Amino acid sequence: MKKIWHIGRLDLKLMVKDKAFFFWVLLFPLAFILIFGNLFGSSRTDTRASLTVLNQDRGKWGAYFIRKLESPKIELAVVNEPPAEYYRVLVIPPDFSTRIERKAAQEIQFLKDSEADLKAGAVADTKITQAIVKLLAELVMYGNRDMKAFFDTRNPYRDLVSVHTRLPKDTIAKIPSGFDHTLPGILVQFVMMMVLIYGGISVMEDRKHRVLARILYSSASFAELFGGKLLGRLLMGLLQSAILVAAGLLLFRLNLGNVWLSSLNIVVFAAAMAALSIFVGSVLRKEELIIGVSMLLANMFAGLGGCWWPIEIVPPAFRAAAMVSPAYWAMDTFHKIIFFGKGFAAVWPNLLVLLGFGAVSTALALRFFKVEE
Amino acid sequence: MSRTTLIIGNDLRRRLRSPMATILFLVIPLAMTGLIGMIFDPGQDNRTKLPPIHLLVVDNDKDIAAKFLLGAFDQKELKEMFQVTLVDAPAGEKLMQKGKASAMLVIPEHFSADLADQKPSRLEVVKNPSEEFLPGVAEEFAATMAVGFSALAQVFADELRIIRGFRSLTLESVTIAEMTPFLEMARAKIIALKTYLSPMLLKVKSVTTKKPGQEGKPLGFNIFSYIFPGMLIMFLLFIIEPSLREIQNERADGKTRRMMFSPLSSLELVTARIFSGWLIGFLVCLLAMAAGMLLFGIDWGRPLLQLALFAIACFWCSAFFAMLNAFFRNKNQAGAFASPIILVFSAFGGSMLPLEQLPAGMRWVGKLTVNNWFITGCRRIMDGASPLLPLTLLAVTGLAFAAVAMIALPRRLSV
Repeated sequence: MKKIWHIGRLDLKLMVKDKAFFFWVLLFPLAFILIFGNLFGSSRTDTRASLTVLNQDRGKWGAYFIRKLESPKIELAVVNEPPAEYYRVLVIPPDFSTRIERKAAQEIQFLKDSEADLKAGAVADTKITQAIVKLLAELVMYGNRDMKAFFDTRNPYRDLVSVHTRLPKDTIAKIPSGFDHTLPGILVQFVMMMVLIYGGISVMEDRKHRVLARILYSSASFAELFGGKLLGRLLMGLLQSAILVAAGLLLFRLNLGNVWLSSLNIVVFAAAMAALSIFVGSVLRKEELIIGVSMLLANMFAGLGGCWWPIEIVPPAFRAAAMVSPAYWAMDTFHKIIFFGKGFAAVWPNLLVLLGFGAVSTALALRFFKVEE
Repeated sequence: MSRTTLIIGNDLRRRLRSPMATILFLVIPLAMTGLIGMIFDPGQDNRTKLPPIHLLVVDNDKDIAAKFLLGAFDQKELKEMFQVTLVDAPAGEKLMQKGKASAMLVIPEHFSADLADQKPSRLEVVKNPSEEFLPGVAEEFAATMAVGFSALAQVFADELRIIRGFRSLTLESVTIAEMTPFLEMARAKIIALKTYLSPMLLKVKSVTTKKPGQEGKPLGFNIFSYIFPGMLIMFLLFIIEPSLREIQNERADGKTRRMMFSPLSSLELVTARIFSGWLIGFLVCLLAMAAGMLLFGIDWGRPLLQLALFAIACFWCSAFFAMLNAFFRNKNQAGAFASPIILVFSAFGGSMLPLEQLPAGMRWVGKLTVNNWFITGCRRIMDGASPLLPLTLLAVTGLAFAAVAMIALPRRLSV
């Protein structure tokens, strides 16, 4: 056991000494977190559903309609001149009041910048629809009486039905932020990339330069050598995770739910990747090939497994295909722990699947692991 | 000149003898483009469709308003948008706790009665915390339904009260005379409704606008052609870089010194390395162009212009890595820095995310990358616009890098 620890620790030390180590384990993942956190967490352009209303109306009805648009979910700005820059503008035309008083149908323009946030745009869309419904309801209640007397004798619309939103009972109390969704995905992706690339290349290099063979000249057995290599790559994955979790806690207030269960998920996932990296490093003989295969595997697993985008927006067929990716199981475990506050009873099947991946990868790694070319 | 050609030919033969790494770096952008494209393909109408939202509905009212609300889900648009499952409250809560649906809509007890009595009532939306988008859509839908119900309840307040009264009576106990005022009242409302709703008094017309110089997605746009250039340039950098890193490897294992015993000049060696990197890259581009057309139906626009862009971009990459290798001390340094540089270029230059999605600051930094100009050039050629600016910029900077490499690299080779 001591020898396994010694070999594993040495591999980790060599990795930390690498010139690009901090770029790979900290700087690059942090750039990813910032990019993807901003992309899916909140809009890069308008964080709240902003709506500019260009009120050109010459009567009272324009201002009255704008009042119907007021909502806590929307950031409303009323202007009288066309704005130079906007995300979305609702244009109330000069004859808006005249046409309403004449009961003549009209179409108002809603201009949306093509780069504006779609989610915020959808909120603005529904708020405009709701404002129209409210105004029409008042008009119908008012009936066919003289429109000039509307503002004095109207029966104002009231919100009789409200909507209350909550999260499922016995889950979490706080609505998760964009980074709560992004960070686990980045963590899973970079553990895969780091362990597969670094772990795979170092196995190949050690074999090529006969380091593995020389270790066997010492008192270490084959099993201890293999165990040490496996442990070294597991430690790489854990170090990468620890750095990202620490950065997440310090910079983004990462919520990991049950820390012990989340840690167990990381350990099991990193172990599966450690075994896979030995397999990759054992069957491939060139650094470029290992980098290529590892990038292909890590990116496909990450994309399918929901590390890059929320899995809910993916078509059902791809969600089914995602189950072949170990990243999917690690992400699903994180979701259960972080967002639903689940315990071991709910996540053990996922961990078992990951252990299965690990077992298959270990068997393959053992089958192909060679100490010499 | 013949010595330079000899080295280029030799480099090419070496790459062709073990082509797996190059093939792999060509397969990765194709695979990633395929995956992302298939997931986010907006289809012919250019509108990205969300998968159906799994919505649980708990009906605690079981009266007319709840039936009306449930009936709304049978309308074509809502039927496509929502996959509704009617559940009781405890079962729904359990399913939500397991994350089995995007949201749960709870219709409260006495919902219909409260509406008829003009009393406030509350729809409840339980959101799946692990999902980011779909629960929000369900919430907005519920908010719109709430406004609709509030409006209907107020418009037909009198009628609803009378209907409630009638429901406790038998047909025999109601006379036509008693019903006449009610019918007259309803008739007035229906006339008013007709005035305002047929045609609709107020409608909204959405128009998507573009800032000057801003590129939009044309109708029938091919998402693969949108993604692939970014992926291609990222992996092109990975493919070309080892050709130039070879300078460091040969220097480390003494090959360069041996080569310098021949009549070969260091300038010829550097030129040959730059052009062998360029040639490998260009051949990969040709394959990528064909694969893009065959697999994804990408229309590359004017082929000659596109080939010119590929050639210039490959030259840029080759010259850039030649220049970097003039400043790297050894092969370890070259190996350690090359991949991070490529990834930073790719992250900022629009290979990992569309340029328009990047924050303004990042987009500005992105303008310093080959990725940005390659992607911009590709899109311009595909759109039938002039790629003069990207082509000129890449050509001028590529020549500058090559000049620096020609001056600095021979010194490194002589050490």
